[in-house]
Amino acid sequence: MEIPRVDKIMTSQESKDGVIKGGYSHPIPLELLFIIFLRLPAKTLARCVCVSKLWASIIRSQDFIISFQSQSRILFFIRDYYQTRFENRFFLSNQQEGTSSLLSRTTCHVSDSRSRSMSPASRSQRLDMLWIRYESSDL
Amino acid sequence: MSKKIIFESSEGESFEVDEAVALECQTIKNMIEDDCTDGGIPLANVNSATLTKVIDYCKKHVEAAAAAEANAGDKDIYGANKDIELKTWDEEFVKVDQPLLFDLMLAANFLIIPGLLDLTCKTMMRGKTVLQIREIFHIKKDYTDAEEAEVRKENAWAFE
Repeated sequence: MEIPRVDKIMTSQESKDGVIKGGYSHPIPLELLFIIFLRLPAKTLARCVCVSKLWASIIRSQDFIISFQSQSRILFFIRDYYQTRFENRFFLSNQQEGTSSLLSRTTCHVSDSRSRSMSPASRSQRLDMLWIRYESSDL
Repeated sequence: MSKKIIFESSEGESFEVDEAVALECQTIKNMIEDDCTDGGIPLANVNSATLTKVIDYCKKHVEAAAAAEANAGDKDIYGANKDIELKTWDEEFVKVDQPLLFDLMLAANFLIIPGLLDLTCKTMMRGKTVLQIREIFHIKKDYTDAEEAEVRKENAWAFE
């Protein structure tokens, strides 16, 4: 996968008033956020969704979801049906984290019946739910 | 005697490292392959403090990789070889203040050091509360209280 690059590099020294409070005076570039988000475990990512609307929109964007998906391998998929919803269980392995000992179990709740079909139209929606909501016995 | 590569930080300070260490950086690796590293490599956007840390990281990982080579030469040091010691070292390595961590992340991105980029990105966010993240990145809350409550509810599992 091609890694997005950032040309403009900021350093902590650039903060104008010379005050560094463990933060950055500049808004962080979006490309950089994308790079960071790609490397986060799902649980941390779900927390980032709560930080701001902008962050949520990046994390929920199709571009991001596809990139994030491509970093993970779905090894296993079980679908359990309940009365009003069904539950997908994914056994995800993150290539960067490594090995079978680091498998995380994920569960996806899907209440929308349309999502049962695998038609292309509902695919992005499925992906979105797939990891935004998944529960993970995260590492 | 192995070949040396000279880095120059944004302050103009020179750092001499073994070629093997420099090769940890994909960007530098490309430069070495193109044979354009004579006279040093100026890194105008990496300061000395950051560069020192980056070199430490690369050195450590080169050493660890050499030590692990006997074990089937698997690239995934954390995985196949279960190199707990290196992982512990990494964890200690990123116990720095946020600005330096941020600079390390930028340097890792610029120099293309995937392991360091991964490590710094995770460290920056992992285990932080939403409020802490907003503080670090100077983000104003643009959710209304009701919206925030809703989005937190949707992602409740992330706060357990």
